[in-house]
Amino acid sequence: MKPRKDEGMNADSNAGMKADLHERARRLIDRERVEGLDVPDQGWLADHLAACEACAGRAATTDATLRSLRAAPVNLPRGLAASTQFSVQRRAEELRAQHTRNVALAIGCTLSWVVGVVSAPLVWRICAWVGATLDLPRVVWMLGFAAWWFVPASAMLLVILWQRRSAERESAGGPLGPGWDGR
Amino acid sequence: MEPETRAVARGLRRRDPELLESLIAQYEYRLYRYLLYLSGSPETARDLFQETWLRVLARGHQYDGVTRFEAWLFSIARHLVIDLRRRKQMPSLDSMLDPGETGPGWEPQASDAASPLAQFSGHEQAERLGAALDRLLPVYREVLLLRFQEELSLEEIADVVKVPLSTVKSRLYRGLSAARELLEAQQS
Repeated sequence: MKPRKDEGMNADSNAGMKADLHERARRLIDRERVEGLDVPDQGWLADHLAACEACAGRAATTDATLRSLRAAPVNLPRGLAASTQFSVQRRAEELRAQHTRNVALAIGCTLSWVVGVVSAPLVWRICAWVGATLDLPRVVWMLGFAAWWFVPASAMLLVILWQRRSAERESAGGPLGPGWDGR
Repeated sequence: MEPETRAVARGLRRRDPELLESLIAQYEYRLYRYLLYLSGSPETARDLFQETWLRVLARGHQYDGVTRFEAWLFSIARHLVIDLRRRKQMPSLDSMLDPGETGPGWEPQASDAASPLAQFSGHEQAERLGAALDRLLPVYREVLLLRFQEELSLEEIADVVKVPLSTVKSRLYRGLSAARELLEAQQS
């Protein structure tokens, strides 16, 4: 006897529903481990796993994968922490020394500025006197006065540039600087 | 009592040598493992390990003491790997994307790099797993490690990897699925 058409459709529909249930269970198995599940989903999944051997097997495989992943040991290179601690301490000392130099530089800059401001009237008079004595054009002794102002600032600028260049050279020579081939 | 992360942040700002020593010892294994997973080479991982701590020393003042220290540490380490890849003109981590994000259909593929997980100890199962997981794309290995070994939250992983939360989830699901399949194939 041929099965009736609606019986066949019902069978297909049931199979489809079961497949949907397994698919949902598989999604929930992963989601439980990645994000966690809310209580209703947890209950539904527990019931499904209790009744479905294939999905329970998949859950077990997933757990085994994660257990293996967590348990996988890695061989540490010998003395890794000790050599790094040494490098870090050395670099920390360099940074402290650099900090001291920077403080000295800042104090020097401030003093230079204060002395420049305080001595400006005197220096102006000296430049004017030298200009008058040597019969120099006004613009020349004024340029001399300006140079007097610029000399300390220029010296400081050179020191700062030199420091920056040294720091760049140091960082370029590090383990990951140019030329480092990673082997 | 002051939270531990705040104490770490204060110590890093002061460049406290004792704190740095203890942090290096405390995170030795975890940081090295992460770098090994990302770089694919023990030598590179070792050099990057040192460079990471030098970076921590230099930029310790940027750690806010609110987020977990390991998330900040891994973020620095990851930047160094990316910098290195750029310098060496290697494919970037994000260019080895899962295809749900861009590019062709996703397939686990063997890495060109030396086997990072071939570093496993002589344990047979671990070796098998190492061989299997080594075929995972680095982007998947990375999120699996951060989630299931480091136990970072999804938000923390998104912060370290600098991708949206949805991308982290997507990578985790794909990575987990790929790892499971590889392991099953290995066992069968």
